[in-house]
Amino acid sequence: MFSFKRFLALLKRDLMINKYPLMGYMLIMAGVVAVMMVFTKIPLPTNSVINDVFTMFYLFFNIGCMIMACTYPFKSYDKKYNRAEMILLPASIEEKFAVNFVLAFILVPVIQFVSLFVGMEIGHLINWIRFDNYTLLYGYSLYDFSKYYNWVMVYVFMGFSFFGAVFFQKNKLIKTWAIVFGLMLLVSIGFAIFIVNMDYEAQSLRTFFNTTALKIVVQIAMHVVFVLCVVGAYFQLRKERS
Amino acid sequence: MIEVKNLSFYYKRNKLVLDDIDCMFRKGRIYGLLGKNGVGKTTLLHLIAGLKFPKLGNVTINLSYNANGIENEISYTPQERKVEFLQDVFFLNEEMPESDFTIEQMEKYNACFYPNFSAEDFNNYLQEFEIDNKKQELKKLSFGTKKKVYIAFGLACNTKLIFLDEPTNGLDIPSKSSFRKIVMKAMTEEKTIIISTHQARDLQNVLDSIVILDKTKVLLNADAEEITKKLWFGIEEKVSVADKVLYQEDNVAGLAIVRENKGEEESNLDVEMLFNAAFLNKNLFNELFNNKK
Repeated sequence: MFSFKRFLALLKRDLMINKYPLMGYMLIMAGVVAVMMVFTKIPLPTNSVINDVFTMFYLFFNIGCMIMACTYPFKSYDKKYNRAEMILLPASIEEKFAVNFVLAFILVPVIQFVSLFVGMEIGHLINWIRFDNYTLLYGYSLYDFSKYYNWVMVYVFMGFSFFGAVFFQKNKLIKTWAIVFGLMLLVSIGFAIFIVNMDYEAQSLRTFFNTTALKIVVQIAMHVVFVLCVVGAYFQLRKERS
Repeated sequence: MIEVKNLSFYYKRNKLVLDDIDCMFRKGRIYGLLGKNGVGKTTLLHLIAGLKFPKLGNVTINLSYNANGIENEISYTPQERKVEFLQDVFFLNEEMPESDFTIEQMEKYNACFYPNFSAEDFNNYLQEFEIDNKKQELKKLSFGTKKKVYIAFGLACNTKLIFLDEPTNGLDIPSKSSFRKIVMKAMTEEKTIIISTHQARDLQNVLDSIVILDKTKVLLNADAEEITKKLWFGIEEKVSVADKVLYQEDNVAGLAIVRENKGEEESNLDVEMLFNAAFLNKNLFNELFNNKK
């Protein structure tokens, strides 16, 4: 039976254990983004400065979430004796899983968002001090958070990371992303070979790839992949042993 | 009661660690689990606690009893890791978990998961171990002190099953004595404590039963009373063949020996001598203690 009280106690325990690493991470992330803001500015003749804020924000957000979703959840299972302690801690698998789910898919994006926002504001401030007539113009970008599928993409990446976090015990980030990028490369090569070797008669397929039908297939696939990663992580946690 | 039936386990298919073993651990007793290095003591404890899963066979644990002390029908399979079961299990590994908590925080954030945890017991046990400052960070404590904190916490959880893997390893001499006192104090009729150890002499006065593992099998599983009824431990100046000595070693006072106890003479169990005698006389021990495996 799922106990909300135990879930909260577990969550509190985890946050207490990881408070300093989390704060350290936030500071580093904010610092890196502030520095990037200063060095990637494009001064215009009108004394304005352009930063492609959206792209940078999205890129950092995505990469940061990917890294954190792989290294932060299930951290208590990394070391042999901590793992034994965690397995035998009196809470159900579902409660333990739910805590890590919340950490990965709610807390990680929030932390990421806050650190990036703070970093960008610091970057703006530095630029404002350095330039007399500093006016920030936001560069055009496809990547803004008003688009649902930009979020989906972030969450699919986090889904892979989340699965890797519980599946691997050492070098999680490297192993997870070596496999994911390897698979992506194989799929791309396979796809390219398929396109190149396509018969003239199958031209209608080319049309298919340009239609919204393909988009729908990809969008459904993204959701399915995310769900599979989460469900896979749950069953992996059930099998976890010392 | 813990019932281990036809249990087999291996890390590599061609190298069995435990092979088809049967044994039973009853409530209200403190068991000493002995064996040579790498024989599978920790593995057996992990299997009983549900930290590892058996390859064959099973472990069944019954922790609930009615008013007359008779087992109810609710039993647990450790690998299911049900909350009600976990609330009654404490496992102290040989190495402790790494933690940034202070002792106080460790108590605060872990005790809430154990319904029978007693803060009073925890403080008393810490005092017994001469640990006064609960604001100390666990990572800054020495190995021995950290172990004392975990022992105190584990016993204060008042779980019905307590597994201690090499608990006296790293403890200084006064702490070993404190440990014995604390274990005796914490023991109740409802609890089963299993202690895996190589430091047999540190613990022999607290052990009610002895389990010796030998090369994937259980060589001996007997209560201390039964052992001293069937074997005699003591010191003799000289021994003859007629004494049927099972094991002997030089001692400042003479020869420390283990022999069969034909006349029901009283003697004190010496676990280390018992261990050595068991390995030298495996067949006889099987006959004497009617071990099937």
